[in-house]
Amino acid sequence: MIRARGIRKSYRLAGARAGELPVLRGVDFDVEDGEFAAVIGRSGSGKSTLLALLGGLDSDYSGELKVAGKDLRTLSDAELSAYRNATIGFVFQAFHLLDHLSCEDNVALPALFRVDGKESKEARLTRARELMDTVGIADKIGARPGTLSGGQKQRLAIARALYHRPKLLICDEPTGNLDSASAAAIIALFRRLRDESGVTLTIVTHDPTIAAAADRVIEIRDGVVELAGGGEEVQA
Amino acid sequence: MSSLGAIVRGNLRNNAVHFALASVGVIVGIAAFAFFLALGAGVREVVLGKIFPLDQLEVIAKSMTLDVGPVSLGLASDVLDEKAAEQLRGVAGVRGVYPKMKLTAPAIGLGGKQIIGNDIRTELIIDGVDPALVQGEFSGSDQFRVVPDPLATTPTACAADSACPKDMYCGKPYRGGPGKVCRDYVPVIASPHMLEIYNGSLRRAYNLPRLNPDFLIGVTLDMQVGASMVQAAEKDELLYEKLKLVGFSDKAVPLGVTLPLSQVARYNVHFGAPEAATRYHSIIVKIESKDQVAAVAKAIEELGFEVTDGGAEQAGFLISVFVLVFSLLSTIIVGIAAVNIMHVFFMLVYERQREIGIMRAVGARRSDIQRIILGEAACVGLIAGAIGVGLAYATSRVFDYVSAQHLPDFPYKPETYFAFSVDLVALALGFAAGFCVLGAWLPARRAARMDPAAVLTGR
Repeated sequence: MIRARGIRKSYRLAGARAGELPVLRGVDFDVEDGEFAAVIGRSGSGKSTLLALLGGLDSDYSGELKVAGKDLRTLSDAELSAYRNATIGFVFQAFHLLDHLSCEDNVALPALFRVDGKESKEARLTRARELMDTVGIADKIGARPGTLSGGQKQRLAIARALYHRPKLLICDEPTGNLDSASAAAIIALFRRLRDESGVTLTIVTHDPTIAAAADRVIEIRDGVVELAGGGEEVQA
Repeated sequence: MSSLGAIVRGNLRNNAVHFALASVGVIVGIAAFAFFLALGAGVREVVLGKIFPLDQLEVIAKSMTLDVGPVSLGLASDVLDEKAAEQLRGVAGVRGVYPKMKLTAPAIGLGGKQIIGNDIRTELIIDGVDPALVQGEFSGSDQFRVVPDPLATTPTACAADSACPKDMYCGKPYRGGPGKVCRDYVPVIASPHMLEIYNGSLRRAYNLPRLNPDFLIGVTLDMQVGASMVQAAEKDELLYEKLKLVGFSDKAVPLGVTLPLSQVARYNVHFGAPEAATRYHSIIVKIESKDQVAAVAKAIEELGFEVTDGGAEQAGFLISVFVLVFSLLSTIIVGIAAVNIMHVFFMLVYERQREIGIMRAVGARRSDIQRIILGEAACVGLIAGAIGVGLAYATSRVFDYVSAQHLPDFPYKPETYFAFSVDLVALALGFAAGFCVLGAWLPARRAARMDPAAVLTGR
């Protein structure tokens, strides 16, 4: 699913510290189809940057990065947008839901930007309700995100990420804002989704329980992959 | 676009207060814009529609005169004929050609008792126009037609109107003499200008009642063709007619009465020569569109005719300058409002970075983000524009009310000074939406180029 070779990424700094700040210094790793991969590392190690590259939010890097057979660096803005819309799903630590929309409208948000054939509003809402049921928040249909608990918000964000049946789910600290019970439930949900739909999971995390549950752990230290292996193996 | 419309609607609801504050300037600017454009159009309608009709030209023969003391001697014929009318019909942009003929014999009118209580005896100025020129213009326009020649029919003697067929009266024979016979009324039309001058000025000077045009329809006036208060001008023979007012039209002679052309031709032939039947004093040329007036006038002058200058061109120019100046001021107001819109959208884009990042993360293209922001701006513009037009309309009604209630009557005083056309409303709405879109252009561009990774990952 993912093939990364020699990925380098720097940020340009302005002001007194003007210059280049290298964040990724040649990252190599692979993630197979249907695998559950955890990306771990200290703050500032480049995990979120790697996630942005995988998600096609940033294509200013060097090296080779292929996701689902697509060389992301060669895609135009429209192609990257279509990739984000149909091939991947994002789940963020801060949920990133739109508070002024209902829960169903949040879940169906990707449908509004679909380029290959528009869906009717009815079809969009039906799919959204189905996904809310899948992630266990069917009782929140019609509610606003602001009325949901942290765990429920994250389930809603996962439902949105699944809207177009993505091949790859990219999650940035998905349990970072949750209590341990909610976090455990979310991890269980990820595993269930992976088992049921075969979606590939790539999760950036500090959470050792997630790392332990992963099929593959990719540890990034100072911009390079320090360790890549099975979750329980890394824990050990 | 319809799915993006759902986002636009949601954002409009969500940021209603911001947008309401941002649109105040647009509302004021568009209100001023629509108000002055409508005022210009309304004044233009009165001035160029009633005082100086601009969709027609009056063509006369080219005059050559020699001034000898106080007298101007004509050195060439000052009449037009059927051949000239045919030439004018051939000019590109001409919709119709309608000859006019002046009565070349003197005439006296006697009447007015029905209206002001006393009969007035006055010299009459009489023009003849082609009835087709006024066809359909007023409700009695079909009655404006030549009546049968009294000399070609045998008159029926009578003692009273009731003895005559409907629509006829019992009066003096056409050429005078003893007894009374049944006669046709000669239909006439009058210019509303006369009524305006009467109601606006004369009635005050002579303490007379204000006249209602509807009341005047059907009023009759005795006419003696060939008679004059100037003894030297009086003809040996007089013709007796009774005129009946059938309507008002701005195609009628401004001061005097207007008869069907053939009726006037009949009198001119009677007191002159047979060829007087086709000797026109001017020809009204109707133009297909107001934009073609200058081109048609030039073509007519190239044919060797003269176009009378009624002042329409200068009036039109002055009105255009007036409208232009106030439109420019309104544009400046809307322009300043657009800068305000830009500031508000910059602020909103900054506030909505996270929302924009989310949309980018779920597949929105840069162009989608740009379209959403510009769509919001267009909607704000359309709503503000509609409120602005509404405000302009309300102000115009107040203006008209104040004018009707508190301004003294004056000639051509209109019921409304404003003309709000569909085009004007569309223009104002388009203008408002256009300026708002222009104001939101840079913020939309910035939103589209925002780095979603930085916003969403907190980098």
